Amino acid sequence: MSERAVQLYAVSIGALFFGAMVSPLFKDPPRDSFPLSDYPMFSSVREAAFLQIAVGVDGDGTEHRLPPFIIANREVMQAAQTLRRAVRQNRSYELCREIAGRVASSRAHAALERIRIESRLFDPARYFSEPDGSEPIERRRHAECRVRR
Amino acid sequence: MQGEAVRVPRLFEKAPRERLAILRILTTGYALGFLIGYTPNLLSLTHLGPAQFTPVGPVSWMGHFIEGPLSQGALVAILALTASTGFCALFGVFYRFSGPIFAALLLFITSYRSSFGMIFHTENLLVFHLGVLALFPAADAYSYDAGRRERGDEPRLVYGAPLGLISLLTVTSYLLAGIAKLRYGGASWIDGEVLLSHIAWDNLRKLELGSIHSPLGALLCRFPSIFGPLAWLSLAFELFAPLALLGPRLARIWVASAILFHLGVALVMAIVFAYPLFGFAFLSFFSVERPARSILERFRARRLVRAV
Repeated sequence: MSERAVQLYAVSIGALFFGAMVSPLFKDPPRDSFPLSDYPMFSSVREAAFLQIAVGVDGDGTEHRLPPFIIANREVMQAAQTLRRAVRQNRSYELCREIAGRVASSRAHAALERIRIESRLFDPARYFSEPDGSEPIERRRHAECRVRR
Repeated sequence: MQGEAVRVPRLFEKAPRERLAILRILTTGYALGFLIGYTPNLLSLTHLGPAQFTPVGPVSWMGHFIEGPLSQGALVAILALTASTGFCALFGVFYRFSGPIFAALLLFITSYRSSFGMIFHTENLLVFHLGVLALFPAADAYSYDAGRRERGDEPRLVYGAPLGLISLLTVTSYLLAGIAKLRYGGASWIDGEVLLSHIAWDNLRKLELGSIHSPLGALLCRFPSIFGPLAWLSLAFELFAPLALLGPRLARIWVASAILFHLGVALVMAIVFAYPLFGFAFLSFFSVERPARSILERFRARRLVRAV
């Protein structure tokens, strides 16, 4: 391939890849995707918001946090999305039963008797900086189910 | 790296074939490491069910044909094919075919990973870089293909152009992130409010969801005044990324800043962008063939001494 042909080829490939990469900038409204993204994460203020969580409850009524792999898989963000979607799509009870099934076969969670799925309102501005900041401002229970062994 | 060891490739700069080959080996090696490391997580996506499946990017076309995630068998087959072509690309076996097929399959796999409601931004650059490498003769050295054909040793444009393109794409991705911060956050970003709120939210979410959070990030949230300067620094690093293309010294400074930036993100948010954090994303800025040559020369010298 001649130098001129290489130049033309490189410019064409460059235009294609560069054009694809910057294309999300010109979408209105902007839409995040993969691999084309305008990288909107961490760009706007996080106000107080509801976080969907799943907890296990033992015989004494004490709540225990459940690790992401019990909820979805080892990726915490995927677990968060799984809970959020289940609540939005009114499938909380269905997900609760799935989680209870996984808890039932986990030795590490043998003490848990019930599973709860809740939305809890947290204010990130207070959570770590005020003594009672980590207490939810509001709780909404979506589902509770028994762990059957 | 000192002096000439740091190179800022331009689109039309010539380079030795070894440089592109080393980039192929390291980038493909990283991609294979990612693929193998994430295989258990990828396989567990099958359990998430159709309601969770929201195809993005190249996986979107699947939405026209199937209603939910791939079956375990189909996913295992695709992962095996991706790994096989990846090893062929790594060793430069029929790279003209294995390179593009591996790049396309990895694009599919990474898009599939992001098709369950959570879009991950950790592999964007990797798939772009692999795509560019696949379209150039990156296996003309240190490969099976190179052993089959004679190549000249002189630097050529066809080996240098992809390095420039990869560097251009790297700085562009950071510039886009900087523009997004101004576009969506504006003044709130500049005074550090956005940064503080995200570090706090990300850590509280991890805590509440029973995952590993950053104690350092949690501690820093008690001192809001430090987030203003941190926000300025990170915004400047992103917006001035294209300066890295202007000269070796600027490139060196920017690459060091980029690694520090990602180290900071890992320390305060427990989010690891491994591809840039460990320097793989910035290899195109450097004369990566020099350490390889030096290692090979030492190896050959030892063999010669043993033979004598």
